[in-house]
Amino acid sequence: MTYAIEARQLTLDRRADSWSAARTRALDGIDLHVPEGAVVGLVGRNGAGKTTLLRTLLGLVTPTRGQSRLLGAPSLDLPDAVRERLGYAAQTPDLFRRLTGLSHLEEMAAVYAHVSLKVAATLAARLDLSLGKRADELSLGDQQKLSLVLALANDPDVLLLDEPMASLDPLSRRDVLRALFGLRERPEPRTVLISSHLLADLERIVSHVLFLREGRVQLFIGWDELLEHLRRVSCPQRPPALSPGQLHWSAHDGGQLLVDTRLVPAPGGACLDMTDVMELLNT
Amino acid sequence: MKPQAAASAPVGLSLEEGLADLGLIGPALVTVLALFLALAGAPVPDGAATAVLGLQAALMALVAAGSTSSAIVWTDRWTARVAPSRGSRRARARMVRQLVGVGGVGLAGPLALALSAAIGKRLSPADVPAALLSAFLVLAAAQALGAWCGLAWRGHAGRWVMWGWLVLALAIAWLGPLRHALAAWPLVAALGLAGLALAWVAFGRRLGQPRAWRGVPVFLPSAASTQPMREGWQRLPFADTDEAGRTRDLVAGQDFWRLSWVPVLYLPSVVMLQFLLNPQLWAAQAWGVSVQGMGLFSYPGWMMFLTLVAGNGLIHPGLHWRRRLAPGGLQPGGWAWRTLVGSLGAGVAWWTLLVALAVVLRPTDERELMLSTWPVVLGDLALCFAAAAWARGWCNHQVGLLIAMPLMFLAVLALTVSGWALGWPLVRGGGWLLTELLMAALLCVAAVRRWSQRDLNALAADA
Repeated sequence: MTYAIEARQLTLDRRADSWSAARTRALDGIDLHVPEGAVVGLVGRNGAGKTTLLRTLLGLVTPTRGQSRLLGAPSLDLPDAVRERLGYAAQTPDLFRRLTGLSHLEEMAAVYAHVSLKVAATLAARLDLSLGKRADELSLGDQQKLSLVLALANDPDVLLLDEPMASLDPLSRRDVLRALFGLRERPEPRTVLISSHLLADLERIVSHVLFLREGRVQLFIGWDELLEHLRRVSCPQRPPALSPGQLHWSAHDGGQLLVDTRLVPAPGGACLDMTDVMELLNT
Repeated sequence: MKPQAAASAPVGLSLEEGLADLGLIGPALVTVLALFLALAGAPVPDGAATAVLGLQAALMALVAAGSTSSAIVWTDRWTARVAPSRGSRRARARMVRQLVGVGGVGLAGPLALALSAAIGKRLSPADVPAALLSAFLVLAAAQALGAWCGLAWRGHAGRWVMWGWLVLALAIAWLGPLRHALAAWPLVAALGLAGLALAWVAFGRRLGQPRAWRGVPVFLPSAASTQPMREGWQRLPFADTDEAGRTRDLVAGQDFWRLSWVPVLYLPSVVMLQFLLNPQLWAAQAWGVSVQGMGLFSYPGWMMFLTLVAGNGLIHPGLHWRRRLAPGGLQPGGWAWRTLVGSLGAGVAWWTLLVALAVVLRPTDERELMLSTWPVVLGDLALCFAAAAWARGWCNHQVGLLIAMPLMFLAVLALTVSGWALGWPLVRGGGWLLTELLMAALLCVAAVRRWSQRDLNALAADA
């Protein structure tokens, strides 16, 4: 299988404070293999390391140990051919305040080989975004929309989105999610890694979900698999050690065990949605 | 919703987001002036040639800093987007175009002036190249220094490079002797050129290297919050409200707020630097000097200039909603008093620094001259800051300041001419200072009353 995004033992240590030598682990030995065409939801609490993981995968942060690859190229040395196929929207829209949306797109078109102004304009119209206004005249939501239009303007094969919908209204969120897969001009499927706290939105689009906690991957699983095979069973006592198929014990709600029914039978186990799994994994 | 968040966060100066070509205007104007002087036919005084050279050197350094800083801003954006390297290459190409353009235009005038001065002094043909080389070296060094400082400003060169501004100020302060020394020892000038070439080579390499330090913090966006609670003093933005209470021209006001760094930085640092170079220019402001003759007109002009600087330099203690809503938080009256006192304090500190520099750098007689001007100009500053605050209290818009300036000129002119006509002793001494301070106090009270009645929401960053 070809992987669009790979990470092996990705670890990042950071100084706790500028005046102290103590170090905290922002990423802790992350192994990740995202197949081409997958849409991965990156889920975790605040400070779990979602943004750091995205930036490290993009080569914007140098890991202390381990390595990652995007489209087969090492993240820290991405050739232009790969960069042409990447799209990224940062958590904070990085726009030039004096430039209009159209000027932003023109700058993109001068830098990327395959920017289609027509497609970008269609997308902007769909999102009800005026491209004639300067970035500093746009509301925060519209800035985020413009940032998304820019990320999609070059029809990327790999798209990394860092909480792209935090400031969008429900209608715009729906349109953005549609745009992630519509307006695609190339035959190959697009690989998307998207971090968000809007789990109901993620549930509608993801093929995989990656739960992150304190810089560690807690669970990386296909969304259909999760729905079909993961169950929550009551377990008041914490097991001395988790056996195969027992994924996580949570003290929440009198003691709960997250199990994989392919390995552990769980008659009467409750079905789970993304919020349930996240709650179990973080308590 | 008001424009907020990242795009309105102060990522860079306005001129750094693509309009750095505007910087060409300053050196071009000086070149036009220099060409006019050179072609006028009359012998050019050495002092004038040196002053033009110093002014051009300062401008070229500032423009070069803007160009490199702009290139870094653009390059950083493309890097953060993981864009193809074409983006960074475009930013660099634009920077090189700007540096070459400004260098070519900026050098032409002072070199023509230096040539004209050399011909006027009937230098031997063998000495003319040395005279030209000295002028060329000064300007090229200033541009290189500015370019490096632009890098350092954005964190792509060590902090210590920022001390280059001080080196430039000192070089301009002793520009006359420096030029003569370079002309007398062409070998030193040639070595200087070789050093410059190395500096440019190192510059090119440094440009591609990652950020060395976080750059000047005040211009960095806050990663933690889109609406950071700004600590400390901020410049008072031009933001007025219309009859319906809506904020008028807030965005345009913010642009002007950014552009207004031009008078705030350029005028004090360039014009005042010229005064620092030659403290005799301050003779008219010294303690005990009579205002008469042309002084009746130049003094109102000086006050108009100070009003422009003060009007653009007003600072305020910030109006973040947290500070306004907190128990015991800022009240309009208290805010207005703090704004006035803080602005005046900053102005006095700036003026005191200038005098202190002159005291350190100049010979004893000029030192005494500068010391004696300190209290006199202190009164001027107090009056101008109070007047500017009062004027902006009525109309906190660019237009308000533009109206206030000629009004200040006319008011002071009317006072001085009337005083002269009535035979009053127009001496810049204790009585003058007292009168100015008294008027300043009255204007301060009026300004505070006016600002207390205004809707301060228009000024709040999070309005």
